[in-house]
Amino acid sequence: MFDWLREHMIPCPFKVITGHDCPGCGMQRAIIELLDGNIWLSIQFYPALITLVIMFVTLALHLKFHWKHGALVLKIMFIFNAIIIAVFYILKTFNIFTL
Amino acid sequence: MTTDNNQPAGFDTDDLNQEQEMHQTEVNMQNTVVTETTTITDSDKQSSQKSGSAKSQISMQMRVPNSGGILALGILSIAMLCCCGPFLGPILAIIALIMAGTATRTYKASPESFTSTSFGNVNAGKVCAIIGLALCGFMLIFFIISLVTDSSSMNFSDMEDLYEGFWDAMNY
Repeated sequence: MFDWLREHMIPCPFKVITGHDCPGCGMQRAIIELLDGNIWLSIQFYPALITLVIMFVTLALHLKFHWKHGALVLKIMFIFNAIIIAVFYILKTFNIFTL
Repeated sequence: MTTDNNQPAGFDTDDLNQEQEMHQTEVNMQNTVVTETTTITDSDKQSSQKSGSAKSQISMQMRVPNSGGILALGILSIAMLCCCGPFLGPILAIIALIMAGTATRTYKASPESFTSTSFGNVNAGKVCAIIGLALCGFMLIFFIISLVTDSSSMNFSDMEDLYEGFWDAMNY
């Protein structure tokens, strides 16, 4: 099933038009590798995936249970995720450093 | 009531006394009813104040309308940046900012009737929407630049080709 998924991935419209990676390129590969159990490979493909998943789970729980400091925690997690995505996108686009 | 019994009974005064007794009992009944109602309202106020101070006034106050939706839209703006390129993210971020503006106006109109945690949601959603909008703006600028200029001339993987050429020259 995972091999079938690896062969049938949705193409990125940004990459088709411009020829460059978009900030989310690598996420599908990372999701498939994470579902398959290869955590280090998924981090190599897309480092922000696990933190994004944690952030969305926290968002859902906060909207359900209305924690007192949930908004502050979500704000900090969002800024952290944005920094990870921006830094690794710049590194990936300019081929400075790859995990 | 007891003073009436101590008075000396004259002629035709019994009926008057009875009437007075009846009137006084009615007045007393009304007084007791009024005092009961006042004590009930006092106890209600005290209990409501106690519950409000204990549970941070959640039971008394409403949430700011669309507070959770603003937070969700602001956070989803960066997910749309990752999934669909910089096309859907700005739309979500702008919707979140407009809703946050109306929500802050309604909160400022009567801050006492809304919970402070939901207003924190609105503020966090606004911050997330601004960051997501900035990132999507950078990506849109990059997208337009790479469309206008020839994408083959703006090849950022030149370094890789250079290394490959180097290794080829070294007969690897």
